[in-house]
Amino acid sequence: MKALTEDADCLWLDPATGVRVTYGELREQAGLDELEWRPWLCPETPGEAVLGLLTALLIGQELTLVDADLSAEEARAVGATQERLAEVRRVPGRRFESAATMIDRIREEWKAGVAAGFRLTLFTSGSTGLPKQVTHRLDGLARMLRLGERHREDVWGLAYNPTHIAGVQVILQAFFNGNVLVHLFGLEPAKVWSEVSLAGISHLSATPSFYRMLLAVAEAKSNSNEASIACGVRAITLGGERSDEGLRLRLAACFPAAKIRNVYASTEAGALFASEGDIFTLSTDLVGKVRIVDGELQVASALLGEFAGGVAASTDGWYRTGDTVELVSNEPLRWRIMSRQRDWVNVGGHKVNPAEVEAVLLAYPGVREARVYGRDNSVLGQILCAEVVAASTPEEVDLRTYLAERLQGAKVPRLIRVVDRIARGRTGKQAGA
Amino acid sequence: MKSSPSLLSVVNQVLANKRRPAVAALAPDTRLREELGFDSLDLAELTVRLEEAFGVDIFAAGVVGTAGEIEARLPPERK
Repeated sequence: MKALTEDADCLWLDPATGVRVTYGELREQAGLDELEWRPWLCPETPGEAVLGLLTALLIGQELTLVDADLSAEEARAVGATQERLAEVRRVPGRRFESAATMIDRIREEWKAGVAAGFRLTLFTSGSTGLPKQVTHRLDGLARMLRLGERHREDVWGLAYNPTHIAGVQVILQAFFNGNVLVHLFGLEPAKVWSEVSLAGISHLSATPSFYRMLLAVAEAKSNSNEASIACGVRAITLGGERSDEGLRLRLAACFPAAKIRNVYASTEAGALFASEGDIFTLSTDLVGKVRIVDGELQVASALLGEFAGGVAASTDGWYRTGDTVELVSNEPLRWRIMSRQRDWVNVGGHKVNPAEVEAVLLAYPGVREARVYGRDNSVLGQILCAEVVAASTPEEVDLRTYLAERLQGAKVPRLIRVVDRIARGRTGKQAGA
Repeated sequence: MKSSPSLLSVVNQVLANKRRPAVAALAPDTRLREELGFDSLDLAELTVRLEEAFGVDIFAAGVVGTAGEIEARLPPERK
């Protein structure tokens, strides 16, 4: 077992493109006298996001990560204008003696609360229909990281979008332990399955939807006598959507050596909780900062990142997560998550606010009423559907094109029906959702 | 669409919704992702539309990659 991270150690591996970046290369880039720094980054590749984020951390700069998936209209709404995205500042670099000292130094500064200058701004979809901008310091992002000797040899698969909070967690977890990070986000399930073995991935963090796709590949292989279990995987983390016992059992069969846990993170609050099994508990530093009111999880505002434009997270000091939970015990506080962000539809880990999509549909000429809802789907967990009442009879393809020009792909309903009237009083979600 | 559905017609509907040209025929080894450019959202849409037409969830019993694999999971009595 190697004692320390070395310059030659691989930091980032992208099997799709063959790109490989070492800790030494990151160190050299940060150590230049002067860097051309882009404070607003809309990364074209996951690698660009990973290196941008870590460089910001090393040189103590602010970075705004913009998802390339945003439509032109959404990008404008969050202020990601062409001028902003093209802005290049010349900023001083920071030298580190070695890869090991680079990681140690940043870790010490974080623990001492002096991680100067570094801020990360991410976007989430807000209930007003516009993405919300949230700025985090390192402590909010790094709250749940697991550090130490026994994590030195971990190999992480990055199965989340690196511009989202969950992806950022994985990147920081790998960096602070000097681990290899392997790009899996957006790869085909069969390719993901082969990379898990080829790259020797030991740790996976992903949404239940991602695991369902991966399990489908593995389970198909078991019928054809190909390798259908991955013994090298030691830890499976689920997040972003509610998981279920059936999925946990299938994961345990496919990854027999893996410890399976759930994590809870949100763009607003950063990383917060973990669970073994399906019961969540609080770490000691969070006791008193989380409460359950009328079955809803609420988080002390002090734990939140800074919202852009001074948007008040709440008026009474408690942020309402909108997540429905079942209280297991009060002392200590333990709970099960029943549904995350009630009324929101989770399309493959991408949370969609139906009200936002309905508002866009209602702007289509002739549309009088619109209802957007989620429907269970074996590929993505949920798929977005819509019903519209219109004066004329618009073609589905025209509605689709209109929406696709204004919304991210996951927010465009894949099944749109023109109906005479919309049945009211329905919950919106189909059975089992 | 009032004519009785087929895998081909449903695949073409998914393509048409993306303003992509229809395909004339599907061979058993036609790969949806590689040859037709279907992504996860397209596959999800295909499963929902096939489920509506045939009452079968083609992904329920594991992943499918080719037109032939889907045909094999659709009920035999259709036409």
